[in-house]
Amino acid sequence: MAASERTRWILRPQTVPFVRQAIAHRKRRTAVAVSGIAFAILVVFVQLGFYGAVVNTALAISSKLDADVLLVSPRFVHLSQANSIPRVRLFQTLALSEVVSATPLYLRYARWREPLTGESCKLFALGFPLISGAPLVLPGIEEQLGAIEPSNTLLADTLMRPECGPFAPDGAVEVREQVAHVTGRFELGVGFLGDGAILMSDDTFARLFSSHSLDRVHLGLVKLAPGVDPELAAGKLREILPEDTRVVSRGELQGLLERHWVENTAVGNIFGMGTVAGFFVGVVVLFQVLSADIRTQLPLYATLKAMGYRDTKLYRYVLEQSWVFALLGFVPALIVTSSLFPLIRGATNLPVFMTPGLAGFVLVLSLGMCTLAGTLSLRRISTAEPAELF
Amino acid sequence: MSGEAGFEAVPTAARTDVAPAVVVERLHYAFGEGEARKGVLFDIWLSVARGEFVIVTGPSGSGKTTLLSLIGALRSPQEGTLRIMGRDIGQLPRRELEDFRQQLGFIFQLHNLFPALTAYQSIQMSLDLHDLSLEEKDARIVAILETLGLAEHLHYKPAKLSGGQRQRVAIARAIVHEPKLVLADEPTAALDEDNSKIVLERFRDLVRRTGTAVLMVTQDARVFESADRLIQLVDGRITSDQRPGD
Ligand SMILES: Nc1ncnc2c1ncn2[C@@H]1O[C@H](COP(=O)(O)OP(=O)(O)OP(=O)(O)O)[C@@H](O)[C@H]1O
Ligand SMILES: [Mg+2]
Repeated sequence: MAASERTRWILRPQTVPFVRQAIAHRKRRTAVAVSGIAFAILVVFVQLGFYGAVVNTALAISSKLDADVLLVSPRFVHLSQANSIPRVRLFQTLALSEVVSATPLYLRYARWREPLTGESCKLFALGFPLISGAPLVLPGIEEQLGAIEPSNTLLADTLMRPECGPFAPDGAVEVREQVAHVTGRFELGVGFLGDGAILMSDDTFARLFSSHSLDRVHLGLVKLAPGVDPELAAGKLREILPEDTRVVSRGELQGLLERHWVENTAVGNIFGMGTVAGFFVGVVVLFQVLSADIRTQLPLYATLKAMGYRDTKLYRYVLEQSWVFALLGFVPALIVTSSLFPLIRGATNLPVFMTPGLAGFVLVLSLGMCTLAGTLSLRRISTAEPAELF
Repeated sequence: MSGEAGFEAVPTAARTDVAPAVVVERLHYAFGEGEARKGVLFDIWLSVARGEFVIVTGPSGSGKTTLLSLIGALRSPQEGTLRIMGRDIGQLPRRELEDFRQQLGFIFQLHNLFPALTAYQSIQMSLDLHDLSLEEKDARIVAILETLGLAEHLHYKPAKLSGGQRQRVAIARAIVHEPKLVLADEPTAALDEDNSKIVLERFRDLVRRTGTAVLMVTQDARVFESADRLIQLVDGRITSDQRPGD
């Protein structure tokens, strides 16, 4: 036998590629099935993309805070509902040699109006003493602190909703019905928290939110000496601080925020449930497709049974077919979603991103979806009755 | 697959050292329940030796197909015993029944080919259940399609085959693995005289070479003389059982 002849034998599948043949033979039916599944997977992708944006919202500010340990009120709910602690608690932390600094952070929603267009926005304002340095670790922010020394000057998020402006050459805007000027920019993005973020000095914060006393702090940013274990330091702080102050690590704060956004907000619930719904829509679509397919193929399955093919082998055919459908549906869904997410980001400023993690997770979900639908449709196989064939 | 169900060569015709291919005793069968219950087979006694070619004939509705499906373990007997190749198939657990069918070859009144598979692949589906190398499978498939006059149609799907060609592919699929027992229901109904002859010659050859027993239902009197035995079924009862020419 010639060498090429031999490779032909080695490369050829040992048994008839039954599933591949069946799928390729009925291109039209396959196309219909796959587009149904692709749509379901697309829905799951989009839902999970938004769900990811909810999680990103929770982490947007908290992951950038320049602190090792944080002081919050025991009634802290989330950043815009932080409640407050007395500023004196920050000074008290300095009693510990491990603590290098403790900076107050003031947080509030600010109504913002673009004076040229009249557009009204809801921005999340962060106030802090300029002397302590920027509370967020963001590129280029430290250099711009001088620009917000004059009162009623702000640094504004470049990822703000574009309609919010400011469009005036001098950066003039109205914040809480007072004139303020944007004198610098930073890039953050706050997702569902608001239309954007603004940073200002504590002085400006006190002017704009005149009802708020700077003695009441929303978030205390505690920085530790290099090499100090935050958990250990947090334990010590808990000992010296009274009940009105809660000490949390940054990880704990992020956990609190994530749980809040995912479990207690409408967006978190909607997109969480949307994912589950998308999954089951996919299962139902695929179940319909597969069981209709099995129904029309019953005589063939019966023939296979009569030939001595085991039921388990037929189950494998059905499951294999559903996996091929899953993969065929996944690819177009991935491609469409990958080009859809940038459009969504452009239109809404929401942090929806295609990541390898998301793609992998949805792939697993798709296979699970198809396995579940395939398993549900297996019952039909047992109705294939070889006795009816003669 | 191993042992009893394997492909060991069986040089002589009817082996007498093993159980008969088919033993039917006191078999009754009825369709339906209660009021609607309708007897179809009554007190059937039948024994077919290995290497025996038996034709079953009889008027339409006399129960020929029902008998064939019982012997092929596609239906469970209600009363009486059925021993195929020495195994009481009324007693076999499902899993063993599934494997047991690999020793049989069915040819249905309808050809039941797979629309997605070529003639070659359809036949390979049958061989895939057995432990053979690809080369061996290939040799067998090509050989059987050639003897059935389908050498030109190896890679045709059923849609491109004529009715008679389809039927011949179905026949090839049923006998390519050299089953111990072939159950054929009107296999030549869709064939012209020449092709009927070719098919019957295949059956005879299989019987001679491998000691396969063939149980074939037909109304076609022209083929009766090919058989070792001719059984007449009328209203669910065997009314005659003779050797042609007797
Ligand atoms: N699935 C079924 N349910 C109920 N009755 C059936 C069923 N299959 C067959 N019968 C009845 O059993 C009787 C025997 O049918 P069977 O198919 O065995 O006849 P046959 O001898 O093969 O006829 P033909 O030569 O027309 O193929 C018929 O009266 C038929 O109506
Ligand atoms: Mg019949």
